[in-house]
Amino acid sequence: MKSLKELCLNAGNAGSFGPERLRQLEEALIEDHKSDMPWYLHIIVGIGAWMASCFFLGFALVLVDWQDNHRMEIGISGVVLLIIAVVVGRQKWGVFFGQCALAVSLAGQAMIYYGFVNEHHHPLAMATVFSIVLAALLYIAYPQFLSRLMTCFASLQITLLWIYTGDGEPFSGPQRIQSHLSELVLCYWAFHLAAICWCFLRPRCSVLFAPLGYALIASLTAWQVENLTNIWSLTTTGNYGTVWVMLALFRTRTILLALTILGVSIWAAGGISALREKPPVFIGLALTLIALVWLGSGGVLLALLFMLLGFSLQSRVILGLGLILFPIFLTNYYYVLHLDLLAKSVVLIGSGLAMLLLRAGLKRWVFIEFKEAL
Amino acid sequence: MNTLPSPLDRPASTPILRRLLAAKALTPPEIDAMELEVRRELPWQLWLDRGLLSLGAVLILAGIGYFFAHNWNHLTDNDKLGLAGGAVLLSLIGATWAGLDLFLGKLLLLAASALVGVYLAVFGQVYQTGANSYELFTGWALLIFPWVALGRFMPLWIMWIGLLNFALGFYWPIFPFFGVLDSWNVFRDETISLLLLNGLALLLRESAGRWPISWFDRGWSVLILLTATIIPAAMETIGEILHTWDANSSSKSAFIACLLYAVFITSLGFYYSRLRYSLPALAIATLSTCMVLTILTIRFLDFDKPHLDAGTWLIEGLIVLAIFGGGVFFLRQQRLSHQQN
Repeated sequence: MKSLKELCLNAGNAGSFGPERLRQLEEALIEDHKSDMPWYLHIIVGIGAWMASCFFLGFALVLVDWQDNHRMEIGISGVVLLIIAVVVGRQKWGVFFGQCALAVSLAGQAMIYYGFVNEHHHPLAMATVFSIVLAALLYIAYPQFLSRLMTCFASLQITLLWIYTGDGEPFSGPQRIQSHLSELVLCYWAFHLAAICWCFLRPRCSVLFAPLGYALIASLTAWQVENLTNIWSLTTTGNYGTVWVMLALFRTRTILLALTILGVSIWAAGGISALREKPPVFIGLALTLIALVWLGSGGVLLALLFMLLGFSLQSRVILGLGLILFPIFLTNYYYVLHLDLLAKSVVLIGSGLAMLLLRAGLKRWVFIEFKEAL
Repeated sequence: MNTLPSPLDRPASTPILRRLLAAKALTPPEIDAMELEVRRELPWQLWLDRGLLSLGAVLILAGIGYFFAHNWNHLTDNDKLGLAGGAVLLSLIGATWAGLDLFLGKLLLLAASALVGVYLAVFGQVYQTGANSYELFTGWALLIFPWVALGRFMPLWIMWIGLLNFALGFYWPIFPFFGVLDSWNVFRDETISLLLLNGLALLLRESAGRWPISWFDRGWSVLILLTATIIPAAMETIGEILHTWDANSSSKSAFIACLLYAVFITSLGFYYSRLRYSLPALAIATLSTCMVLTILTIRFLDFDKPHLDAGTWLIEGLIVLAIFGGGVFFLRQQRLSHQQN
């Protein structure tokens, strides 16, 4: 792997790097290393803040005696706590105060939902609006990675719940009609994929929207795992009536995933110029993706997308997530195939041989100069 | 004279480039050009090659498993044993043919090790040996030990230790001496024995890591063994603390457990901060310490009371923040002091 210095010196037309510029870069790197926190430290901060927020919530609820007629007071207290959290969180007072602000912010948000969402009048629609407004406001006002990630994730999942159920089951109210459901689900799925690409593939956007990107990835993962456990088909019984809806919901989502993988692959290889240089490789990839879409392996494609993104962005979190999800979705895919044991055995052995053939083909025609290095 | 390497000489990566863009040290066109070059340097071919090989092998093995399952009732006992044993032998021959220095050879050795378990399960079913689960796992671990020792492949060692963990886990619930243990004693014996087993493995791994052996140089194996050691230690300590809520128990064992846990974590902290610096290892130890301390304070504040007052909730929330904040502060200090050295 090339060093940063080599990259700078090879930059050519992209930029000029004299000794002074290199010294500035070195200083920036040292400064960045001081302020940067590895991802596992973020996780420890997140766990601590989440646990503390539960205790703060307990404190607030005991204080106002946990009665329905005090809901407004709880909501107002939530707003006050949130404002305090934002003010404290914006200061550079160290880890402890930063974590305090995050915990208070989470508790405050929970209190706002409890205090202001009327459970008898379109509760989910109202919660969805609240969550989107809160996420947008906090994204601007409280520039902290974990806060942005958590509020965006909550908002994305609440919106998903609203899309699937409207204010119907398990809530009191009429269910969403079929055509609206499939349109909303498809739009929301496409929004997730497009937004992930927008947040991560363009470096300029990534600087500001990386937390949103991670929230989208977490939300998409949760959605696919929820599909695996049939949560949505159980809570929206009656909404999956026709073959058309089934096809629209499952097949089109898989097609969108395959298209995203193809797009990310072209981006990772260097854009349209790479497509022109090696068309057979991308035609082969497209055919493979068509086969996977035809086989209906949506979850596997999602795991592949995360692996591709994680590898090309050198993000251990996204790559690790893809590596964890891949065996889960692959096992589930073969497990739920409506075939007898003998047919499954043939399909599995056939798939395995196809992988080995693909490997042999790649070694022979694409990666000619490749020698395994240990 | 300054002999420290410049940070510019470290390998470039996309996350670093994007952080430099955020710090406005690089411009967007520069980042675009550099990122493209970084992506082209990534080991795509190695990843694809190994990924397709592993996936192909796993799918074919699973297919063979399904084939046996379909024909199971039609096979004679000799066929079943012959096929299971034959699969082990074929994998071993394949591993020897491919060579243990290549990834394919190592993968086949791993497959052979997994298939020994299948063979033992078939053997137990055919001859109705009545063997317990722990005996199956112990036998499995013993049988594959020779090629685990010869294989020079870290995942094989981790799998072998996993088998021993399963053997111990299944052993205590049917402990044959002094009658059947109650659930609390089973929990205690399991956590302590797993702590000792994985702790010993970690100790050996760290001692052997000092030798210049290339295949041993796998940092992730230390983290897996450390996690496998710390989890039972933390669970045992947390269990002892919560057990004091039981009216019939004494708090003496909880005190001893906390003391031993403190000594254990302090030793780990000293080792991974001073002798062999590893921030991820310190983070694992810190997280477990934070969890144990949180449970300890929950116990001190008597959270099992039916009606808790508001102050107790508030104090516990602040204590949790202090504990986790302190943990993160400690880790950041370690990171900074290591950079300065």
